[in-house]
Amino acid sequence: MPETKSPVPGAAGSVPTGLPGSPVPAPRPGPTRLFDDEFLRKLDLLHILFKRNVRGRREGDRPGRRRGGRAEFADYREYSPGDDLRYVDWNVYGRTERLFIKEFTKHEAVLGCVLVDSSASMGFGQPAKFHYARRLAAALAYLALADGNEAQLGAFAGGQVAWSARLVGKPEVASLAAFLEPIEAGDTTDVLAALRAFRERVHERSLVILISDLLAETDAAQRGLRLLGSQRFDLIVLHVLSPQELHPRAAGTARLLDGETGDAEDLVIDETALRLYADRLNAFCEQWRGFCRRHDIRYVQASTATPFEECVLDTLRQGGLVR
Amino acid sequence: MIALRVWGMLGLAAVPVLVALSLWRWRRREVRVSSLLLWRDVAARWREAPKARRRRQADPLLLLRIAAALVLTAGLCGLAAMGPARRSRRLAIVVDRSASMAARRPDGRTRWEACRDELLTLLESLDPWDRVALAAVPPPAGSTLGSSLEPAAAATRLRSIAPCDAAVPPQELAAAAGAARTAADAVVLLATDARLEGLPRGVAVVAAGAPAANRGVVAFAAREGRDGRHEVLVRLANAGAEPSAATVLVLADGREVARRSLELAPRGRTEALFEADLGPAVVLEARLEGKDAMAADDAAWLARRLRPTRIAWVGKPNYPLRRALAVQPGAEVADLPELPERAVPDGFHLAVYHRAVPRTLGGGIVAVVAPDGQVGRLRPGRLRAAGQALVVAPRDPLMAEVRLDAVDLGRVAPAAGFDGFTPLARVGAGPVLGRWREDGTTVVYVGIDPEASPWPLDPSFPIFWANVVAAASGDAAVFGCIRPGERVGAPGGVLRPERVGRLEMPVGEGRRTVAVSLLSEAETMARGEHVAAPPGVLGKPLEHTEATEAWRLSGWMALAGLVLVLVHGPLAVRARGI
Repeated sequence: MPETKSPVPGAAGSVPTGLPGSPVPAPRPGPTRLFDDEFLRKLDLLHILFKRNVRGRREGDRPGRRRGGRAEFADYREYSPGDDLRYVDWNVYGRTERLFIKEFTKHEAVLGCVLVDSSASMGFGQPAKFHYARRLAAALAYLALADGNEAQLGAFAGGQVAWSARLVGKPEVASLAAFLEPIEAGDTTDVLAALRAFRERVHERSLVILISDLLAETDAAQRGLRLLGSQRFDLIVLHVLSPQELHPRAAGTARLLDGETGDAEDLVIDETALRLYADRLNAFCEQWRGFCRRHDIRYVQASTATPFEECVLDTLRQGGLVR
Repeated sequence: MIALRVWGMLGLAAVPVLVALSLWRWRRREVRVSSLLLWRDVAARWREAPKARRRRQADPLLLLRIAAALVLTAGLCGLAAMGPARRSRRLAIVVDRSASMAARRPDGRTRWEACRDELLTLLESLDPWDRVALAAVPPPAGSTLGSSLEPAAAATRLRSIAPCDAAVPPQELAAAAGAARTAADAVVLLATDARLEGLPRGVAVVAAGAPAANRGVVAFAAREGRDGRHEVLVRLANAGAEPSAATVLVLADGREVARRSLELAPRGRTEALFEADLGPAVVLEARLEGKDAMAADDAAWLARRLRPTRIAWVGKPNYPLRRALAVQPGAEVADLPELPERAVPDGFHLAVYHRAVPRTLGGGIVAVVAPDGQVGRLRPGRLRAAGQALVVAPRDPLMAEVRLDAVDLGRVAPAAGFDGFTPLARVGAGPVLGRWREDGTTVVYVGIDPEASPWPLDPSFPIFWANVVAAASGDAAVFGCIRPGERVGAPGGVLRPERVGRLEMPVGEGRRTVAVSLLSEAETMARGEHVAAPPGVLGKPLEHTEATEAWRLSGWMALAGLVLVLVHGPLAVRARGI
């Protein structure tokens, strides 16, 4: 059953900090409803994995492909006119009478952006998918922060996205919670609009984690992902489903009401119908899995029936999201 | 069968209930889902399916439920139906413990022993799961017979039963059998030698009797006769089929006072009337000489007791005199609202008339208190002078121990008298106390006003009235019947209980209804023709193996139904719906 209906995230009064362009105020460190200290200590042992060469705007702890900085020696290259003479290795010149420039790896702070689906369909399930997704988003954002990267959260529903501020450093975990906790599920799912909004807001190649049940127009959502993928964003799709969606039970003659649109379908949900549904669900998931494979997008399916810790520590690790 | 019907009805009623519940559960409901994205294809394919296909398929759970209900019902019905056959042929045995059951049969056994052997044989034929209720009339003291005994236990308790000396009316036996039939819902076997008619349905009689050469005392009474002697009535009965001679003895406190030989016709009765001087004896016994089939009815007893002296008060109240009468031992004073027809009404020993006179005489003792002499023909004379009284008949029983020397009676009647009048005390020349007899009535004349004179304050006053009461109560002492259940010590031991009845008894030249001790004539005359349990009284039982197999099959069916119900639970939980 859905959680309490609420206005679209980002609408006035619903999410005080989530309107586009309104940065989250300064975080206040403290315990959150999403995690406890024990779980945070377990998260500290994990690191988020990047699959593509993403770039950050500022220096950080992650060694990038770009050269620069002074911290970590990377390679030599022959001097070219215009190179900074401060990087000429004079010892090598003494031995070889040729000029070589020392190159260093530039450490960057990459942006990890977590887009959470807060549509009404996410409010269904026991436990509710949105609560589960919210915790997953917080955990992944925390991992990004723990690695010295930047993190930004976005909750989307009905074509609007509520953004958090760009967060840096582990102490910002409280800001994560402060952003996510007030959000409630409502409105329709529009993945494409969310991705477009993200693209307008973020210009560097960053890590994008989409957490959704994907129960929306599949083509549009995949078009948005294809767009980002073509622009060399590192994409991850976390497909969250509830056990009631994975394994529905017979209900006899029923009128099914869409939790987002209110549309109705009359149906006899018997064993045959359940078998058809299972086939349809498998095809749906397989389609998404194939799409992601073809477009170098990491895809992980998570059931809310799985304990949250087990999902983060095992499922995400097996999916190649963390190590 | 009632249980069978109940289980069957419940089981059959469960089926439509299950179907209704299933239909209710499968009614169209609104179910909210997160999205119809995945369901639309399913709905489209469902709509495209043939109509027959779109009808709801038979619910396996419903079929399972119906099967469970039917199997469980069949099993329980079987258990209910087989249960009575296996568990209980219920038998109730009601035993007549009356004295006649101790009568000895020609084969040497008593009637009870013969009956008991027959019942034991019957109990041995029962199955261990049959149940027996045991009752005896009258119930044996200090032992419990039991209402739901195994046949072996019932046999043990049956052996402990023995007849007693009591007489048991046939109605009591019939009532006990009916009660056993109602309480135990069982076939009732009534073991008795009594002749019973109109028994309740379901009660069979084990006729325990046999023709027995038995004689017995069936009635015994005594009363005071002429000249202080007593008349004693003894009635004998002969239960045998042959004429019999019997010698009956009458004993007073163990001393033989009369004896007579009598001839008794087959199944006939005869009476003997004795005149005997019983003296101060307390217990009177009638005994038959010789032995016969039953000893219990060969003797009967009476006990002498004093009946209360009943005094009738007629006329105006007078406290001193009333009190003097009431304090007499054994005296009961009753007010009569108006003049009775006879001077001494029936049931009274003495009548006291205060300022009144009886209409007629005719027997008994009457005391007339007439201080002013205005009592009609009874008047000895008008009182007019005062003075001390003088006892003039000191030997008269009424004046025994009466001293009037110091008593000033206040007023004195003039000298007067008539034939038969005996003055007992005088003041001057006038009598103040006297008596005479007329029409069989002894009239005691008291010409003193107890309220106005100082006589009640003198000890002679209660002494005089005690003498009057004693003279009147001479008829009260008789040999009365021993009341049922009364225990009277006798030379031979404790007397057995008897019944009391009314009997016409020759008194002098006439006959008079008197109370007598009635030994149960039914006990003396009881007889039976055979000793055998009625054939087929218990009905045809199921064979043991047959009953057990049926019981076992039903048990398995019930168990299977229960398992189906238990299996159904998790399946139902799994199929609870979206």
